[in-house]
Amino acid sequence: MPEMPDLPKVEEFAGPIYMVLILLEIFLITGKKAKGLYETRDATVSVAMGLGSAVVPLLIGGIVLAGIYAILFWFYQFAPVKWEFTLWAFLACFLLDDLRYYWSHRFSHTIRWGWANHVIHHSSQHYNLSTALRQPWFSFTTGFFVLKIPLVLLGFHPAMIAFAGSVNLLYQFFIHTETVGRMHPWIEAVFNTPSHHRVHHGRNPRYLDSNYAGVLIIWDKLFGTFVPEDDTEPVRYGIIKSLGTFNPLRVATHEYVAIGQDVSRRGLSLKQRLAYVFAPPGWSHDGSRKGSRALKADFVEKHPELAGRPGLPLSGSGMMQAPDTREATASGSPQGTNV
Amino acid sequence: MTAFQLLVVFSVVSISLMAFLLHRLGQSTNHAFTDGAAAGSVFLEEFPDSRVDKVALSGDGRAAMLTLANEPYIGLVRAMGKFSLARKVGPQSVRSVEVHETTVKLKLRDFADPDFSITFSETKEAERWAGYFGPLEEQETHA
Repeated sequence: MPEMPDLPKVEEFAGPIYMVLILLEIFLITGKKAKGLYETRDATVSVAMGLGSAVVPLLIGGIVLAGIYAILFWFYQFAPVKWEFTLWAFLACFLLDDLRYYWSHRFSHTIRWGWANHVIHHSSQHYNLSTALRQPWFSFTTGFFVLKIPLVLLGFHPAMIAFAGSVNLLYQFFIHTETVGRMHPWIEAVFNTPSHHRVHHGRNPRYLDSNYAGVLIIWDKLFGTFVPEDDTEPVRYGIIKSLGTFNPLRVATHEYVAIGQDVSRRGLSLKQRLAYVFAPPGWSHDGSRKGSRALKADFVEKHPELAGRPGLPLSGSGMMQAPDTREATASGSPQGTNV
Repeated sequence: MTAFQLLVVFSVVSISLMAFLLHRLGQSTNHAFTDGAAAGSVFLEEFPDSRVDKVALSGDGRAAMLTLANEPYIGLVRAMGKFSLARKVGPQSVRSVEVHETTVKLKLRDFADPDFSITFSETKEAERWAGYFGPLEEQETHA
């Protein structure tokens, strides 16, 4: 088994960098020298959620995290080739881990159990560097670590994969900003940029469920989820049903509570209860809620001239339109995915 | 002190510093709706299929209650920092209603949006809006 060098712990040195850049962004925005918005409670909750995402898994998920690492090591023994930590091995690992991130992120938006965790990151109506730190607390419960198993079987040490993931997340901090417009065309063509990621955080129908990339936007282009930022339609950030609270505990757990309420409804079959956990956000047993696909179709129904534009279907909802029963969702879960 | 403890202390200090700075830079105030029409248009942005009948704006312009044409719901709009939040609620969405002089306080069943409060200029108006959620004698009044 190849020896892994003592890889730097990105999260340990990244904190001061994050805070300095957030303060810089605050001064630029409040000094009217850059585009963007900050709000005291929103930014405070965002950074507090970031602290919680570091502390909570260690406090309540330590055994699970250790178990996940042990499982990855168990699979590692079956890898026919085990790569030493070289620049080329790391670049290959980083590339494949970025692909892994794309699918993990996509599943976080299209499986409600994953969304319950990830929604935290999308729950602000603001989009600034503090939003990058608004991270989930229960990622260890999603089960998406299984997507790392193919990388382990290809011979990448679990520590190398973890390091690649840390670098990926570090990169993503910098793209949570409105202060940067568009970058050079070739950068926009290959990399995930502030512009591409603003679209990902949009709740406009056309921007829903798009741009899942971590570092390389090529994955979205490859798998058909790329939507460019349209200057004629400014991004409205957040989730379909915005939160009415700044309480970090409610922010962290609200979708789990909503799942619990749905699953415990009377008169549902086992299949329906499972669907409330694992179907896409917005699914409901009686069709009373709308997911992103229905919201896009509704939008095209009202704006047929925009049909077929990036992020929008070729035709409107027509017969598939569900009755307007938003009240049913007013006290329950969001009627759609985010974002 | 371990690296983890250092991270926690650093984070708490940083969060406090950032919050203080933002507050001092004037980033803590909720925006105000210029008039009832502005609150109504925010509501329609979220619920484009609805038709707003009447809008009652709070004294400070930071919240509004709306009646809707042909719908058994009340619209709630409020400022959330620089943005706004709109909801449709019926009696079943409301856990309790309290009237404190000119203020209506709703406890909502929504875990992600548990409270709504609006202050009118007159007690009668507060009682009238609270009355949409059931007979007022069943609610707590502190007029």
